[in-house]
Amino acid sequence: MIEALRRRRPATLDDLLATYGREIQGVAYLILRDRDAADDVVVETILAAHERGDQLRDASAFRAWILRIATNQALSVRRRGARIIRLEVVPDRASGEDVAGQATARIALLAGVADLPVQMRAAVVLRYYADLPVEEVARALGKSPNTIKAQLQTALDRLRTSLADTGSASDREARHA
Amino acid sequence: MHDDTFEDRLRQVLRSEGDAVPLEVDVERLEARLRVRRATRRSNRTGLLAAGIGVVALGVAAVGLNGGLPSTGPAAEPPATDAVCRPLDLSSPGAAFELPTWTGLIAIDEDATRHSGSLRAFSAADGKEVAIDAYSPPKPSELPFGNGSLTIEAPFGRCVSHLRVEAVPYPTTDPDPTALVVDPIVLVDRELTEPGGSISFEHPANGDWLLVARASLPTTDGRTAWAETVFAFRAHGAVSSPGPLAGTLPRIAPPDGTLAFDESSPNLGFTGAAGNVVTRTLGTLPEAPSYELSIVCLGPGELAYSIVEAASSDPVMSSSVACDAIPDGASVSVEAAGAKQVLITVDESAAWRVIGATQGEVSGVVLPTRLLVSPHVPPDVGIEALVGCGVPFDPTVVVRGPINRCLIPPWPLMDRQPVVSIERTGELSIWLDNGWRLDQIKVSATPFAEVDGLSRPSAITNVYEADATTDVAVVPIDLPPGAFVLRIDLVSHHDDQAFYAAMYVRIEVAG
Repeated sequence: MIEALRRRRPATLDDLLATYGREIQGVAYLILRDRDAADDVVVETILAAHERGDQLRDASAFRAWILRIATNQALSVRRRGARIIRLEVVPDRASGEDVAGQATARIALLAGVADLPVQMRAAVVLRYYADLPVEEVARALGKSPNTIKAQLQTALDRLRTSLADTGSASDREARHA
Repeated sequence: MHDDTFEDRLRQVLRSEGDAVPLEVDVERLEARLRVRRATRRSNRTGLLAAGIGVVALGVAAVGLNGGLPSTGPAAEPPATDAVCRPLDLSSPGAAFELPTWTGLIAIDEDATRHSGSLRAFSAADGKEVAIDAYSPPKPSELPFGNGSLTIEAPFGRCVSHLRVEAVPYPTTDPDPTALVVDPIVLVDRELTEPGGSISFEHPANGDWLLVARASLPTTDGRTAWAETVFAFRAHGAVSSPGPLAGTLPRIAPPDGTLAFDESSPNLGFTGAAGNVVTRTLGTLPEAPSYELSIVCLGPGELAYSIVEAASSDPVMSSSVACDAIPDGASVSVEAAGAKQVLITVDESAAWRVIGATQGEVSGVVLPTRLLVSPHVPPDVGIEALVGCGVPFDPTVVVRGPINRCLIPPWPLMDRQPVVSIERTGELSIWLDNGWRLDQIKVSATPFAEVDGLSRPSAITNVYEADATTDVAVVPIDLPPGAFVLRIDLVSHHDDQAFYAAMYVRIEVAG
């Protein structure tokens, strides 16, 4: 990929989009919860990679590098006090308690992620969606690995709590039903 | 603690959610945007985006920061940038123009902290301010921390032709909104070479500043609008200490009130490799009318700290202390409800310790304010012990109601605390004020010399443990002569409220 970028081959944009577009979109969407903004991030990230990718010496670092650009783009897009669009899906009880429970848990987890402070959310997305190692997440967010580890631990604790709260509420509802 | 199952579950949920969003970007869109970028660069190189795309040169209608500049009507010729940039769309004269939802000039400091101030924008058509967002000069308490150089990022994909950043000294007390019209220091005054470009510049000097970033944005009908962002910025840098530093972090006394957290750096002394300034979240302060912080820092530069809303991360206050090994502190009164978090920004090489405490009644719970200890039975006048809320030492205890729970502090320094003198094999009476009854009590002791305020003492003796609902616990003390610090863990109740506490008292056992 880097060689193609160096030679500015016409198909490079296509290749970048095909190889990384979906993942960039996922990272941006999970941080921003806004499809249009995530689209913009995809465009800007791929163009930035197209223009500067030839300067990257280590080909194995390309994916982490492009996700770093995407994260920074997404964080710069986010406006202070931006509205978080929450997923409002009511589990279908008729489909069985297990399925409903799983759907509730999924919604609770996503809502919990959306409630995290944006930097912490970005760390969670890069670590658990993009599967980047902690060191790469730290580099992407301009923090030390220890800071990121602490942020991730805090995030997991919060998510566990929100999941437990939802579980308790569901149990109560089920008992009252 | 690692929980692989939970992490796998999170991974699965995020992937299913992230991958479910259809990718609607295609190569045509990428190529179109790329053409725009290249054309913009060509335009810039040939001077078509000259610095004169200002209000006066193009006859553009816009108003200044204080609304003092009159409209001068539309331009005769549209700027050449219209052909290559994504100009703002003015649908009709005087109408609110379209701005992307994320528009704003974002300042980024070296710690990668983003300062996106309130946005203010002005219609090019009639010079009136367009309601974009709540706009008000930031309060001193909203000062974010900054470090080193700043980068101003233009909204990407948007044709920003000109950027000017000014700085005015920001008063730390009684801010005067008219400070904005004081002769500013111009930090940046130049074109942006391409959409999505950014400009880095050095902050003016250490201190508090109000920065005004103003951008010119071409509109579809050939005029220019302004968007501006105002944000407060506290500039500080890691600097060498002017004098010899202490060898290790000095002891500090806990602040008054109920201890909420007690955090310190892993190193007790300056490690000597300065240069990497980091921001950490230290701990949570439960909702309370006011907070006390005790702080000490040893190393390069200063330790900046802030209290933010735990729920929203909105800043409540911020300040800093020099890392000169001199204990410092802060007393903060707050109006907003809800728990707060404390963050610090400090060089990684520095040694530091920060203790936070709440003062006044914690919301929703009427707490005992004092633990009283007396060597006499029945107790007459006791002395007040150091109070901190904690967690049950016995997990089987029945929880009676709402619990005020915070961190149990480590064995704190008791140098300045009063001493209870007791005869060898004597007794101590222990009780709480405000009518709280004791359900369980456990007393442990460590030699006074073992307590360093930072770590758990190596030698701790169990002195007493009992279950009983009583007003006063009479605790037999069987310790050798000498100075000790007692830790008193207790479970108590008042009506239907429970209170778990870890409290400390200094005693002197006679020979």
